[in-house]
Amino acid sequence: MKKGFNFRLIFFITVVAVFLIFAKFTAVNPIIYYLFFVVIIIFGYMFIFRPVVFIEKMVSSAVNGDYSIKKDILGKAGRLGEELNLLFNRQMVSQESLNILFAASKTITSRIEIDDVVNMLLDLVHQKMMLPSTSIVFLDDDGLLRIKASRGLTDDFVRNIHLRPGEGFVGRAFSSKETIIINDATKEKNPETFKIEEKEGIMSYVHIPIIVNDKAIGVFNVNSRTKRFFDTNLVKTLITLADYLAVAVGNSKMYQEMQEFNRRLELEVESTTEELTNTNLRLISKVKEMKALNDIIFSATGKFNIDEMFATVIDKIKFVTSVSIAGFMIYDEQNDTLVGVGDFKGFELALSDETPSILAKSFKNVSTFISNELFMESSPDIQRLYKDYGATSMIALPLVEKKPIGLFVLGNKVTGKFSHDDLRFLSVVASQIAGLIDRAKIYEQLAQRVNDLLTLRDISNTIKTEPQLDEIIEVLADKTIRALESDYAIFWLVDDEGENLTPLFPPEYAGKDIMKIPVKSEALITKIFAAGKVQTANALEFQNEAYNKLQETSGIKSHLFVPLKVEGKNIGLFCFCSKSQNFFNDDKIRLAELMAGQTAAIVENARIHNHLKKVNAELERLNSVKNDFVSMVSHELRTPLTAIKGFVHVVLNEEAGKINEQQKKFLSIVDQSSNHLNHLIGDLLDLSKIESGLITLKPEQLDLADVIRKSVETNINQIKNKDIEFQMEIDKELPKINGDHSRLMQVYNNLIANAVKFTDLGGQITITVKEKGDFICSSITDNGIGISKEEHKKIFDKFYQVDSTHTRIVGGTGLGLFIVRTIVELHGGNIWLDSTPGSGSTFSFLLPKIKKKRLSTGDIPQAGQAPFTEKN
Amino acid sequence: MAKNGGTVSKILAIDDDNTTLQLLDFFLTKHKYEVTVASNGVDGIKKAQEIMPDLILLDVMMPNMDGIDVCKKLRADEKTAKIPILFLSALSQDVEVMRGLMAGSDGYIVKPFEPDNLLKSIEKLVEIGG
Repeated sequence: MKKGFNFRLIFFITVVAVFLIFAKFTAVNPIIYYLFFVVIIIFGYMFIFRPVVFIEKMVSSAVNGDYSIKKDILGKAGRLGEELNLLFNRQMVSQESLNILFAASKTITSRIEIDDVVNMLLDLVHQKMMLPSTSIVFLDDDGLLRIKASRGLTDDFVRNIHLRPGEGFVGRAFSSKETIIINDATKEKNPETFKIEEKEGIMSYVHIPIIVNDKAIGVFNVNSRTKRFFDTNLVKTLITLADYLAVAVGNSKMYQEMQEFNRRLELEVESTTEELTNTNLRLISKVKEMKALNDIIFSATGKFNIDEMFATVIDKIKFVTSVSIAGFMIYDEQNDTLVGVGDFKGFELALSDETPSILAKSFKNVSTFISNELFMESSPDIQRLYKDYGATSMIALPLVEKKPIGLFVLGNKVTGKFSHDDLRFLSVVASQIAGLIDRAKIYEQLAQRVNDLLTLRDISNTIKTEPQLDEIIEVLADKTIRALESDYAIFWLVDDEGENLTPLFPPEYAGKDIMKIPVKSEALITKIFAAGKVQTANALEFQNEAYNKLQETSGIKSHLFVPLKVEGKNIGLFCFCSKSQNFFNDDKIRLAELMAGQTAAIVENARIHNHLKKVNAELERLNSVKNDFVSMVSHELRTPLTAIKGFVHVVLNEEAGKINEQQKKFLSIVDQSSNHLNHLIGDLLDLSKIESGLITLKPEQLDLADVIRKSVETNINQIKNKDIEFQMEIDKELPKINGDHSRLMQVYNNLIANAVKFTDLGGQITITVKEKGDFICSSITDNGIGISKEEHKKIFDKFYQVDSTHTRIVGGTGLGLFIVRTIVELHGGNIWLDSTPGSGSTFSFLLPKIKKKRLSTGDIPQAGQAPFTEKN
Repeated sequence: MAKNGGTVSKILAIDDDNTTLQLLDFFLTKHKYEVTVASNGVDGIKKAQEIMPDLILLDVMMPNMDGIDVCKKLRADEKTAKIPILFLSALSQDVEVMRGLMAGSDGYIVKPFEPDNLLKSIEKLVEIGG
C-alpha cells in the first residue's frame, strides 16, 4: 500500500545523500551546488509537501463529514490519496450502515409488495451507500437466474445476464448458498461476465444468496469500481440486507398464499352458499308438501266413519292443492261399479259396461289419467264430467291398498294447469288416502280385534311384576271372566306331583279337597283336560258333589272349557260358566283360544318361578349353613389349638420353670404335632374354598428362588432329622414371575414335606428350577419309595391316598397334592409326576413367566403373621 | 421391650375363651407387660375405658357382642379411638380378615399364633401407638 510513497522518499533521500557525499569529496562548482538545492526544493514540494497538504485537506473535510473527494484532488494526492479515499468511503458506508439497516428493516416490515422492497433496497445501496451499481437476481420459473431489478447497470448488461444455478459466481453463490466476494475482477476474469464487467468498470463485487426457508431463491449483487472495496463490515451489512429481503420475500409469499387461500375460500363459500340456497328452496317446497300431506292425513286420521273421512280429506285437498273439484270414485264390489264420492256424488260408472271409459280404464289398469283439455276427450264419462260437473282439467289417480279400491279424482286447478309436480305430489296423497280408506273399511273388524288384543295385553301386563301364583290366578280370573262376559269360573291346575287337578279359583275353593279331581279318574273334567281342546257344553252331570251343587245354586246353564298347555303338556283347566244357555259363541271360543296359550305360559312361569324361588332359598340356606359350619369348625378346632401351642411354647421355653431333656423332647413333638394339626385344618379350609370357588390369588412380581429358600427353611428341621442330602439347582438370573407369594410357598412347602415324608433316612432330595420357553419349570426329586404308574394322575385328586402299606406310616388328609395342583393351575401352570416304584419320584410343575390375567384379592395373612395397616 | 418410656405397657386381652386368656396373661406377663383380661365385649369396652391400655388384643367370635362390634365401638369413642387394636382370631378366610381390618383394627393375627410373632406384632404396635 505504502510502496509508492516509500519508494519516492527513499529515492529522494538517496539522491540528496549521494550529492552531499559527492560534494564533500570533490570540489563542486558552487553554481551546480546551489542548482542542486533548487532541484531538491522543487522535488520536495512536488513529492512531499503538496501530497501532504492535499491529504490534510481530505482528512479535514472527511472529519467534517464530507467524504466526496474531488477527482482532481485525488490525482494530486497520488496513490496515498486513493488509499485514503477507499478508507473514507468505507468509513462513510459503515457510518451509513446503521441508518440503512434501520431504514431497510422499516421498509421491509411495512411493505408486502416484493417489487417495492427490492426497489427500496437497491435505492438504499445505490444512493445512500453510493455504490456505483447493484442488482437483485431471482431464479425464474424456467430455472434460469435473471436480474429482476438493478441500479447503475446498463440495459445491455441486465438483458444479457441469465445463468443457470452453479454457473458463474452468481450461480455459485445461488447453489452453495454462500456469499462470494470478489476483490479484484480483473484477476478473476469470470468468463461469463468478465467482458460486461470490464465494460461497466466493475472492479470488485459481492454476490449474496437470498435464502428463504433454507432455500436459495436469488442473489443480491453489489458492485464497486474500486478494488478490494468490500470489507467485513460492509459485507455483513449487505448480508443483513439480503436477509431482510429474504424475510420480505417469505412474508410476501405467505401473504400471497393467504390471499390465494382466501380467494379459494371465498369461491368455495360462494358456491356452497349457492348450493345451500338451492337445497334450502327444495327443502322448503318439500316441507310444504309434507306439511300439506300431513294436514290431509291428520285431518282424516281421527275419522273412522268413511263418509266423514272423505268430506274432511276433500276439504283439505282443495285447500292445499288449489283445485275447485275433488272427489273419489270408490269401487263397489257387489255391483261392480265405481261410485262417486265428494264433488262427484251421484256419478256412477258401471265397469261391466261396454262403452269406452277413461276412468274405468284407469281403475282397471291402475294407471294415472291427466288432461288439461277435457273438452278434447271423446270418452262419454269424461264428456259427462265436463258437461255436468264443469270439469275442464283433471287428474285421476288409482287408489291401491293391496288391490285397487277406487280412483282419486281432482279437477279444475285454480292456478294454471296440472303439472308433473302436481302429479307426483298427488300420487303420494293418493297412496296415503288409499290406506285411510282401507283402514276405515276394516275399522269395524278392527275395533272388535282391538278389544280382544287389549284383553290379551292386560293379561300379559299381569306378569310384569314378580309372579306370585295366587295373585296371578286372581288377576287372570278377573280379566278372563270379564273378557268372556261369563258369570263364574273355576280354575284347576295339576299339582306338583301330577296326580290331582287342584282348584285354585275361586278363592273359597282354592286348595280344597272337595273340588280336587284325580287326573287318572274317569270324571268328565279329566277327559276334557286330557283332550286339551277348547270346548263348550251346556249343563253337565259332574261326578263331583260339590260342583253339581254349585251348578245348581248358581243357576249355571253353559260352560266353556279352556285347557292350559305349555310345550304340549297339559298343566291345568279353566272352566268359564254362564247363566245363559249356549252363551259361548264362536267369537268367545276364538278369544278363549287366543287367551289359552298366553295364560298357560303365565301360569307356568309363575309356577316355575315359585318353585325356583323355593329351591334357591333352600340352596342359599344350605350354602350359608356350610359356610358357617366351615367357619365354626375352624374356629372350634383352632381355639383349643391356640392354648395347646401357646402353653407348650411357654413350657418349652422354660418360662414356667425348668424341664428335663426328655420332657423337652416330648413337648417338641407336641409342638410339631399341633403344627401339623393346624396345617390339616388349613387344608380343610382351603378345600372348602376351592370347592366354593372362593380361592383367589394375590399376584405380585416375585423371585421364585426367594420363595424356594423360605420353603426350605421352613422344612429344614425335618430334613435334618432324616439326615437327608438336600440339593438346590436354581438357574441364575431366573426371570421374575407374577404369583401369589404365600400360595406358592404352600406349593413348595407341600412338595418338599411330601418328598421328605416318602424318603428314607439318609436319602436324597433335589430341587431344580430352570427356564423352559415361556415357563419356569420346578422339579422336586427324591429317591424314596416311588409311586406306581396307575396312580400318577389320581394322586392329584382330593382325598386320594397312595394305596401302599408304606404310606400309612406317614399319614395325611390326602388334600395336600390336590391343593398344590389347584394353586399351580390357578397360576396358569400345570403339574405332573414322573416316578418309578422303588427308585423315587419327581414332581414337576410349570409356572408362566408373565401371567397376563391378574387376579386380585385381599391380604391373606398366614398364621402368626399380622398385616399392618398404615398408621398416621 | 415391654418398657415404653420407662413405664410398663398395658395390654387388654378380650376373648371369650378362658384358656386363651390364661395363656395370654401368663405369656405376656412373662414378657413384662401388664395384662388385663376381659371375657366378653361389653366388659372389654368398659375395661378399655377404665385402664386405657397401650394395646388391645381382641377375639372376633364372641357371644352377644362380637369383636368387630367391639372394635367399632372403641373406635367411635373419642377416648379409646387411638388405642391400637390387634385382632386375634381363629377366622382366617380373606373376607373375615378384611372385615377385621375394615372395622378399624391395626392388625390381624390368625389363631393358633406363633408366640414369638405375636410378641413382635405387639412390640411394633405399642411402639407406634406410644
